Amino acid sequence: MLIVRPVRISDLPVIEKMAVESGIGVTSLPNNREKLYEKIQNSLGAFEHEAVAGTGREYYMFVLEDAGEVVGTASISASAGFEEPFYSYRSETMVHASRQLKVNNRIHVLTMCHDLTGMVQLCGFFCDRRLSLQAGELLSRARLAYMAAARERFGRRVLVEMQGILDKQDQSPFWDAIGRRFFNMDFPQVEQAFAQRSKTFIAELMPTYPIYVPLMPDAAQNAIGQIHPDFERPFSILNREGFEADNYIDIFDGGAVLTAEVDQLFTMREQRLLPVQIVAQLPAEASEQLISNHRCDRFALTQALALVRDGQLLLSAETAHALQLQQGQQACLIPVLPNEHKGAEA
Amino acid sequence: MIIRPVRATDLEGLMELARSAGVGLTSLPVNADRLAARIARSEASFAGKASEADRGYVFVLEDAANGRVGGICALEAAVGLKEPWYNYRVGTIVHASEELGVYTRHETLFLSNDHTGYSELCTLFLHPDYRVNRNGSLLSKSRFLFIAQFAELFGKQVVAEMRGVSDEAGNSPFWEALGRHFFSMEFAQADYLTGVGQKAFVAELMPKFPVYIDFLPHDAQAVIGKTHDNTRPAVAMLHGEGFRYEGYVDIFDAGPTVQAYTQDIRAVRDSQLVSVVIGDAQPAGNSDSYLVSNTSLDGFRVLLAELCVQAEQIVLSAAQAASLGVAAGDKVRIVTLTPRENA
Repeated sequence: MLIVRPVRISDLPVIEKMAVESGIGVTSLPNNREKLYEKIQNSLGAFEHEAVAGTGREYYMFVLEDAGEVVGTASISASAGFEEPFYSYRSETMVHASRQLKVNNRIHVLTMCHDLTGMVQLCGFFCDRRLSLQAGELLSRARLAYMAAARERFGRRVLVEMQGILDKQDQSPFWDAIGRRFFNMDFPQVEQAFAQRSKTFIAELMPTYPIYVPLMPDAAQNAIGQIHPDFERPFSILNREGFEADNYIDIFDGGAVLTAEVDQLFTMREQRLLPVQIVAQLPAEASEQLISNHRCDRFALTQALALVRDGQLLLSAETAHALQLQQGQQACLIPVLPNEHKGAEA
Repeated sequence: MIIRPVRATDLEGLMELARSAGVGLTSLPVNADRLAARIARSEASFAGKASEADRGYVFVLEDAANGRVGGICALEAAVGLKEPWYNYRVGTIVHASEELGVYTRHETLFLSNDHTGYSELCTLFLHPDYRVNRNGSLLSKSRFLFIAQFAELFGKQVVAEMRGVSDEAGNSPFWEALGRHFFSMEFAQADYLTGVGQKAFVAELMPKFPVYIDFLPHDAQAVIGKTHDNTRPAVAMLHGEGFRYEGYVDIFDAGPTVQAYTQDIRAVRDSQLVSVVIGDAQPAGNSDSYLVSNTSLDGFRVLLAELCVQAEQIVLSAAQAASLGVAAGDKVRIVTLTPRENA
């Protein structure tokens, strides 16, 4: 049985292993025991204490358990760039027009901005690749299910950074065209050199003037707003939730930054609170659903067979037990995401 | 040869000059209406009837033997007062963090209007038939005597835009790398629009934000601040007069703008007023080539003469005095044609 729960101190060794495995690019899962320990501590505090949206640096870290073994992790940062600006490039169009000369040119420009500062950020996602799509989806969406359970703790908008594309040598064409000129370091080097520090340090050395996209090499232009193939699964999940790759890109590798209105996400719109009714045998028409216990502190989410009947959520005893739910307590029912590729996944 | 203000009757002569200049000289278009307007503006300027923003003085080199117009040069009193005057300033930006051990230095193009209100040397062209006997120097430097005599009409600095690098087909590597992206147009076309006074329109389509030079292709980087081979002699002459490249380049072809403080230009600073004596023989002593001008605004004249200057007097022949419109005892302004070697 797959279950998502808040991280515990005892998870540190396995999370450390994941950090090593995740390699470069996932800067929010630092390959550094002390940093990870700090994140876990921060998370423990966040789950325990009452918090109000937009006021703090709460960091919520979740793990995915498969039959009691931790196989993935994902986090929510309540306020992106809290205490320091969160940098991104905004894609803009500037029209260079002259009526006299009958010229009208649209010029694509990247402007460094702090627009996304303070938004809720989904981050630190790592899921064993051998796991099913369903597991990845459960882990990713657990964060939204948690936001549904603790809605007052989170602001109006949410973002997720997707890693940008790299070439065969793990070099980022976008970084080579912009950042590298200011650092004389290649992408893996810069990721490693600064994994221990905040990205703000790097951002402060980047060009503050808008970048004219037509002046960039083709390979760099083609990387703008693109997503690394390894991130296609996470992207697909978020995209079906309602995240958009719209105006913002990462300042280092040009990867898409997805944004959304929290309340417009599929999970938020479709979730329903229902009293639990534990049954010995689920009727045949029961179907796979996401079910959370809707708690701010001892949060738990799983995917299991369930059925709504007469305003009651029918669950097996095993599912109820896994979610620490008693008969008659409120549970949150969240439908599985509509699948883009029918039949692709069992 | 005599330098004098242009007149309405010179139109046909200017058209002839423009035809011989070809496409290279954009400020001298083969276009009777434009040339007539330019002449009219110049006449108003010499007559003291033009506003500061409009003042532009056009001079011609006239062949005294037959009255033919052999060359043209001009001075704008103050650029950028009617529509913006654009340059790129090549500046330096340092991105550094001691803490991170990072230090990088970047040449950057900043769009500027820094030369607004400065005076400009422009539209210099000498017909191939007249490219002898230092006519080129006479034509070009005659303007410095005019500036020296009427300093109050000019800005604190004088600039001159030098043609940038382009190939035989008229392609500019800088334009291809920068302007082309913002303006789907050939360089020659942009160049033409510049010549006919539409530069500000074009400039409005160019990037307004600073451009890091190392974002540009190498062949474009290489021509920034570089002069077209054909323009090298002109640059050398201006260097001799004290003009310097101070990091301002043309926004289209990145050719350098050279500049000097008006009162520091050699031919302005070293020029002096002397009295005229009419005679046929120079006094004994070392003679030198001098530019000689009268002190009249609308009747301004300059010629080149071999003189031996003594006791703040010069001896001119009756013919020379007549060309300049001066009589014995009148003041004229003189300066050596070329900078003197330091003894």
